[in-house]
Amino acid sequence: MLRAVASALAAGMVLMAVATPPASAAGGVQCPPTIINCEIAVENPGGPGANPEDPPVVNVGDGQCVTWKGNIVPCWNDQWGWFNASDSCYYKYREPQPPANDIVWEGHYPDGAVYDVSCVEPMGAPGSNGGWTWLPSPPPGYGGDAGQLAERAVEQMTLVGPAIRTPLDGDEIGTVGIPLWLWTEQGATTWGPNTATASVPGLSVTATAQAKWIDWDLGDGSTMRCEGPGTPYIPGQVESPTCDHVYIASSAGRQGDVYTVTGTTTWEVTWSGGGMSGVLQVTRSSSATVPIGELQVLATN
Amino acid sequence: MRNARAWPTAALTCAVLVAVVACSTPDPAPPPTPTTSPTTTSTPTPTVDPAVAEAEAAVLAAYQSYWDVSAAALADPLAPLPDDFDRYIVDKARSGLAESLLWAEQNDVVMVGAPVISPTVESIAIDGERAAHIVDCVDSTDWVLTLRSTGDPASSASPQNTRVTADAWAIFYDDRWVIREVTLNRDQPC
Repeated sequence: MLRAVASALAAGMVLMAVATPPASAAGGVQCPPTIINCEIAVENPGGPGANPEDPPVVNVGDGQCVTWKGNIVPCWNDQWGWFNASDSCYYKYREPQPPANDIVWEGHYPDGAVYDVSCVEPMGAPGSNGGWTWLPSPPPGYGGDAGQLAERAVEQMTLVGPAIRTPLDGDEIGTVGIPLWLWTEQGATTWGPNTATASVPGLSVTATAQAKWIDWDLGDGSTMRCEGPGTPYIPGQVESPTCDHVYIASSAGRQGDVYTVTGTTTWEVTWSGGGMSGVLQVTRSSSATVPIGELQVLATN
Repeated sequence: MRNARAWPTAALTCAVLVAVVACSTPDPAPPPTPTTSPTTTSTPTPTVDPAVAEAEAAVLAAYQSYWDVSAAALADPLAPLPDDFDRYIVDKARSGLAESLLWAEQNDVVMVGAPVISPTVESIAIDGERAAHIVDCVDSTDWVLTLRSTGDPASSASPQNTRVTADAWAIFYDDRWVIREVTLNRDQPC
């Protein structure tokens, strides 16, 4: 046992030495890290804004970003990730994330995330730029399109408004003064949960939608909000435990002699991908007609 | 720089420690005992833990891949990257290669040929947090910076060392040995 501990200690000493490379040295020749002989005989134009005192004026289109020298680069690169204009480096979420005991975490594990950083126009000495980098939250520009991807995922779900149901069957007519139960049938597109994934190369966003409540416009000038999908009618029970409405006038004389009931479902969509996450709220509406009549009491003698 | 110079001494110490660790660690495959080879004389043979030998081979294979991938990628920085790009190259080694590729792309140059390497594993730890240090002499005599447009050599006549020492560090990550950092010591010809 004692021997095992001693050997583990020795291993630890080795690790401390082996796992910590010396800081990259900047030699006299400013070559990129991998290239030994890099002096170029011809003049390098260096891009439109090579002179820092002459700030570049460039027009960029969709998906285009600008480096600190004024060169136009794609904001997304399949290999390097998302462009961060503040340091002219690309950032890509590292998968798998380095183990918890790796020095790159700086003791923050599991908070934040580790990114691969690759610099287009390095600001530091060759070799000193980029590499694994821990950040508490994604850098500027990261996932420029992640929110849009989440919206695309929502579109794929084809969410709809409530499948409106009342106790009235076929030609039945509701009654003034008696609570009319309202609910929605629950399916993947009418109440959820519903999940979909949308991707571009290197970034995939998965969204899950769950309906939360329904705002009802009853057609008689009143509105109400019911949490949840409502309760299917229970014969013999007068009031719904969750959602009903009492009409105080007949629908006779209105267009089609009915009330038009509109239900608007509010969905909460949670999404995540590329080391980011977010919440969206979307609404979907649908309508139905409800005939309401007054109870006629026929007195016979 | 000072750290880099101080390193070899530390590495040497490490190598000794590794040997101690390797010998004292309970291993499923212990080295053969002398009694099994009665015909041999007393010539001392180095006992290498098979696990260490296997790890060293994997480290050197990853390092070879680093240069293979570098040569393939820099042969045409505009082409899609080699399949192995993200297999054996991580962290600073990856970003350094990325920096080189982006630099070559901006300057419209390519690298023709390939470097010749002769690496050895200077130290390795195979227990716990696995890591290794590789030393090398990288010969780029036949790896020539070339203008893409004309195919002519792009380097100026000014003398630069074409054979320099290199240090590389490997770690065990995602179930394999990978190269984490490679430093060319441009002021150390070899």
